[in-house]
Amino acid sequence: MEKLLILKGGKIFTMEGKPLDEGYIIIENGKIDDIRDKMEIPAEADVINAQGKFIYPGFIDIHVHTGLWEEGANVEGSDGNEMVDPVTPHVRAIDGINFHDDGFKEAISSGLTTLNIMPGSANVIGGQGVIAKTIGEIVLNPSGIKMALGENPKRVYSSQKKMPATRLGNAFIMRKALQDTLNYIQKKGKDRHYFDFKLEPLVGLFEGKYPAKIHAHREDDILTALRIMKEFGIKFTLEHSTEGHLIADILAKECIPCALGPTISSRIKQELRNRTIETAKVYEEKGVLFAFVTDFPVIPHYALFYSAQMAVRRGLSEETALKAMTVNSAKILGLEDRVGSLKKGKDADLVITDREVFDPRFKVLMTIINGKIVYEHKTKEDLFI
Amino acid sequence: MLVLRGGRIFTGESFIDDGAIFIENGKITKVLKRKRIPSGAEIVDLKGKFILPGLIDAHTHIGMKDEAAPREYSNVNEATEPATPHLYAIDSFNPEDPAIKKAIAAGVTTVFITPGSANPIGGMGSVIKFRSAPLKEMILRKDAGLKIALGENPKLTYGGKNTFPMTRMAVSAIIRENFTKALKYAEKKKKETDIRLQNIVKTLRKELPCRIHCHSVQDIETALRLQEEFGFEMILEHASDAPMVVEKLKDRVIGIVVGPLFGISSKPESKNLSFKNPAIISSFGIPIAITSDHPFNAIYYLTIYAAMSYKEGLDETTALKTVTSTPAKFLGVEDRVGYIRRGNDADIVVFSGHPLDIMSRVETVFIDGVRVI
Amino acid sequence: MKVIKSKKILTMKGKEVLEGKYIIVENGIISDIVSKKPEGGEYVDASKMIVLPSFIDPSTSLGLAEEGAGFNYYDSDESTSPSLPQIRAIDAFYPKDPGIKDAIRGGISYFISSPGPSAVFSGLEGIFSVKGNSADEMVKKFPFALKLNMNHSARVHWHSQGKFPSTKMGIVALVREKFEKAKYYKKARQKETDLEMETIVKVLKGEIPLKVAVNTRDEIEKTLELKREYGVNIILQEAEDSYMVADLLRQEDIPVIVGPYFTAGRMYHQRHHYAKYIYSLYEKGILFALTTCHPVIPINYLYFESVLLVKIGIPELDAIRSITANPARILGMDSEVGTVEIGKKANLAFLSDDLYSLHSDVIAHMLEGEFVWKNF
Repeated sequence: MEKLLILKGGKIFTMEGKPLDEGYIIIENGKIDDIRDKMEIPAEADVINAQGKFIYPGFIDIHVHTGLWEEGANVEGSDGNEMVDPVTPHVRAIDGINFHDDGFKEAISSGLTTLNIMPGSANVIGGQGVIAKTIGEIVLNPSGIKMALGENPKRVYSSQKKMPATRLGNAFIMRKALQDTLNYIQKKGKDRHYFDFKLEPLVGLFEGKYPAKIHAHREDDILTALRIMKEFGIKFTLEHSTEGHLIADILAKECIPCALGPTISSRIKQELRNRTIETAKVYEEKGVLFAFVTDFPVIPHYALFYSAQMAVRRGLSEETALKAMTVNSAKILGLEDRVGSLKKGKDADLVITDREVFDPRFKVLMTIINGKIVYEHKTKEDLFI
Repeated sequence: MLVLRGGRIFTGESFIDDGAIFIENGKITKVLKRKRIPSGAEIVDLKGKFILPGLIDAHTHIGMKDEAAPREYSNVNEATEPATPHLYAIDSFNPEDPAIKKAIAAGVTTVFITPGSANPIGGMGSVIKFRSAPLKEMILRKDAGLKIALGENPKLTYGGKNTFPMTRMAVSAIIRENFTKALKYAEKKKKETDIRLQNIVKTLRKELPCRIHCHSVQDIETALRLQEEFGFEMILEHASDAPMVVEKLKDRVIGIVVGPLFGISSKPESKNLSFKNPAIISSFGIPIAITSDHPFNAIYYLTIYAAMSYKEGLDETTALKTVTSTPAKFLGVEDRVGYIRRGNDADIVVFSGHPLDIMSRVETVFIDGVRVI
Repeated sequence: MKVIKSKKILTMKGKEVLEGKYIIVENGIISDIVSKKPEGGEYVDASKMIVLPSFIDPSTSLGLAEEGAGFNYYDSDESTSPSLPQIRAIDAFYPKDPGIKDAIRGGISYFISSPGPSAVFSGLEGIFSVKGNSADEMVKKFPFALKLNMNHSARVHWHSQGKFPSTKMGIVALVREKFEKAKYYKKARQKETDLEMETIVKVLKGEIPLKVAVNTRDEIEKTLELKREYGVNIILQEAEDSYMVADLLRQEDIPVIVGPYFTAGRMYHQRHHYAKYIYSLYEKGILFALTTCHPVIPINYLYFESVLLVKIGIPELDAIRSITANPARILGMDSEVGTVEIGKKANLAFLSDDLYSLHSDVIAHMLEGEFVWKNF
C-alpha cells in the first residue's frame, strides 16, 4: 500500500467546474482519491507544497508521432510511414515507437501526460495508433486506424508511379479497402478459419471497437471523409481540420470531433492556404468538439500551449482553450473516465506550473503521472526548450 | 615540474628500466636512466608499469564520419570528381567524434587524417593531436601528405557511375595528367594561385610525400613507375602484396603503412592481407607503421594489431616502433611526438603491463604534460 | 505630426523604461519624446499600451517562398548549381506572399529574405520592409549579404545527386577556389564582367558580409578560419554548436542568428538545437538575434518565440532586444531603427499589456510613421 500523496495548492483547475483558489488533492495508489478545500494532513502522508502555484490535470495531445520519428536520428530513427503500399492497416505505431526517445522527455517536462501516437499520413490507411502515458505506459492499443486524404498520399505515391496520384485515387483506395473488409467479414461468417492479417484490423471499425482517425486539411477532403465514413457507417475523428471553420456547421451537426493543429506551422502546402488561428473560435461558436494538437515532431509538445495562447489572444475563451488540452482531448479518445480532469477515481496525472498556462512565461515545475513525480524542474539544463 | 618515475620505458628507439621522465610546460625536459629527482617536483610513481610515447596512427579517417552517426554523415570521400588535390581532410574533421575519446583512452594521441580512396587524387592529409583546444591548435602539420589511390576503389567508384576512370589505365592517366599540369604550372610561376595544382607541386618539390593507397602487386609497380616519372617521395598504404616485390621497394619508399589487418580480405586485390606481412617487409629494412585505417578497423585496438604482428614474427622493438617513432617520422613530426626524449611533447601512455600483451590496460595518458586519462 | 501617448516605452537603450511619455512622430521619424502633451497634431491614445521598437527578422524566405500556393511556387531555392553567388532575392520577391500580412500583424517591420539553402553560394539576400506593392518599393538594402551554406542541408543535396561538393572538405575547397579566383579577378583588369566573380569580390572587399549557415563546431571554426585568411565579415546562422566555441566567437566579435525554436524533429546535426544553449552566448556578451526562418515557423510568432529565451534564463528586456536592437545592429541599420530614440525611424510595435504578460499581444504596428496595423 503506497503512502498517501497530498498536493497542497495553489489554484486548482479541476476541469470539473470552476477552479479552486486553494485546495488539497489527495492521491492514493496512483488515483485521485479526493479534492477538498480544507483538510488536516495526516502525519504519514507525503506533501507537495504547491501554494502560490497552479495545478492542472496532466495535459493530453491526441495527435502526435512521438518516438516514431526519433530526435536526432535521421532515417535510421524514422519509423512512422510505411510508404511502399498505400493501405497498411496491419502495421502498428507501438511496434515503431522508441519510448526512450528525447521526444518523450520533452513531453514530460512540458506537462504532457497522455499522448495518442499514430503512424504518419503518407498512406491512405496508415496503420494502428496507440495511446500511452508519456512515461511509456500503454493505455489503449490500438486506439484507432489512421487514415489520410489530401496532398500527402497522392504526392508520395504519384512519385512512385502508383495509385493514388490524385484525390480520385485517394478516395477510391479508401473505399476499396473498406469494401474489401466487408467482403472479408462475409467470408469469415461462412468459414470461421478464414483469416486475412492485413484486413483484420479494419474489422474493428465496423464493430465500433475504435474509430477511424482521418487526416484532412481542405474542406473538400473533410467532406470526402464524411461521405465515405457515412457510406460505410464508421465513426471517425477529423485530424488537423485546417479548413474546418469554413464548414463548422456541418461538423457540429454531424458531431465530428476535431484534432486542431498544428497551428504554429507554415502554409507550405496548397491545402494549408487557409490555415488560420481563428478556427478554434469558430468551433467554439458553432459547438464543434475539438482539441489542440502539435502533431509532434512538426512542433514541440510545449508549443501546444503557445497554440492555445495565440487562439485566446484572437478571441477564443480561456475556458474552451483549456478544455481543448484536457477534457475535450480525453473525450475524443474515449478516456474521459480516466484522464482529462481532476476528479475522484481518475488517474493521478497532474501538472504544477509557476504561472497560468496562458502566460507566455509559464514554466512547468512538476509533472506527476499515476501519482508519481516523473519530472521536477530544477535548472534550465532539464528543459527541452 | 612533473616527474614520472620507474617502470619500463620504451623511448621510441630503445628501453630504459627504472628511469625518470621530467616534464615542464608540456614538454619532456629530461629522460634519466637513474632515479635522482630534485625537490619540488610532483612525482608519479610508475613502478611495474610500461611506458610508451603517445601512440600514433599514420592513416585514419577519424572525425570524418562520427561513430554511430546516421549514414549520411560521412565526409570521407568526395566521390564526385576523380581529381581533388585541393581538398583537405581537416576540413571534414569533427573534433567531437565520439571515437576520439575512445582513442585517447586506448593511448592514441596523434593521428594522420586523410581523404578516402575513392579518388585517384583525394586531397591533403594532416597530422592532428587530440588536444582539448580549438581546431587550429590541434593541427601539428597541416600539409603532411597527398592522398593518391590506385587499384579497385577509384575505378569501381567511377566505373560504377559509368564515368572516367573505370580501368586502372585511366586511374593512372588522371594522376599523370594532373601531375604533368602541376609540373608545367610550377615552371611557369603564374601570378594566380591554382589551389588544385599547388598541392601537387608540394610533392614535386619533395615538401611532403605522396601517400599511395595500393594493394596488389601491379598497383605497387604502378606507384614505382609514377615515382620514376615525377620524382616525388612516397609512402605506400596497405600494400598487401608488398612481400612479392619487397626488394624493389627498398630505397624507393620512405616506408609502408600496413593495415587494416584485422578481418577478412574483402576484395580480390587484398587477398594477400596478412599479419605476417609486417615481419617480412621489415626484414628487408623497410620502415613500417601499423594502422587501423579507422574506421575500417577500430583505432582503439591499435596495440592489438601491433601485438598480432609481433605474434607473426615481427621483433618486439620494431613492433613497438610501428605505433610510435616510425609513424612520427613518416608524418614529419618526430621532433614533436613519437619519442620519449628531451624536447618532445609530453605525450605519454602508461600501460598496466606490456603493451603487446592483450590483457594489459591503458592506465594513464598525458597529452602535453596534462593528465587526460 | 502624430502625438502618441504611451503607458510605457521599452526604448531598448540598455534597461531604460520610460513611463507615461508622449512620442512625437514627424515625417516618419521620432522627432521628440516628452512628458507634456504638445498642441496640435493627430493624437493617438495608446495610454494603456507598451511601446517597443518594431521587430526585425534577420533570416526568412518571405516573398520568395509564397505560402499556400504549393511547392511549384517556391522560388527560394535555385538548387541546380553549387555556386550561384550572383543570383538575387530581389529578382524573385513576391510582395503578395500571405506571410507578409502575418508579419505586419506580428509587428515585424523589416526582414531579410534569403535564397537557398541547397547551393553552397546560394545568392544575395536583402533587407525588405513589409509595406509596398513591389520588390523595389519594399527593398531597404540590396544586397545585404552573400549567403553561404557550409551546412548539412547543402552538402546532402549535392551528395544525393552525386555531384561536387558532397563532403565538408569539398565545400571548403569550393569556397577557397572561388575566393582565390576572385582575388585574381580583383587585381587584373577584366574585359568581360563576370557576375559570379564580381559578387565574391564585394565580399573580399568587405562591402557586404557573408551570412554563413553552419551546424557543427568544426564548421563554425572553419568559417572563422576563412574570416582570418580572407578578411571577410561573417554573420553565423543556425550554428547549433555555437555554445561550444562561444569564447572564440566573442574574441572575433561574430554575431549569431539563433533559432528557430518551436521546432522539433531534429536531425543528428541539430541534436544541440535547443534555446537553452543560447544562454552561454548571452553570458559571454555575444551579439545574437532571434529568427523564425519563416516559413519554418510563421513569422508572426517572433514575439512569442522570444519568450522562450526568458524561459531559459535571459532577462526579458534582453530577450526583446534579440528581436529589435540586436538585429538592427547586425543589419547595419542601428543608426535608423532598433531603438525608440529621437532621430530614429518611427518603427514601433504596440503591446496590449505588459511585456510577455498573461494576455499581451501585438495590437498595433507603425512603420516609418504610419500605422500598417491598428487594432485599437
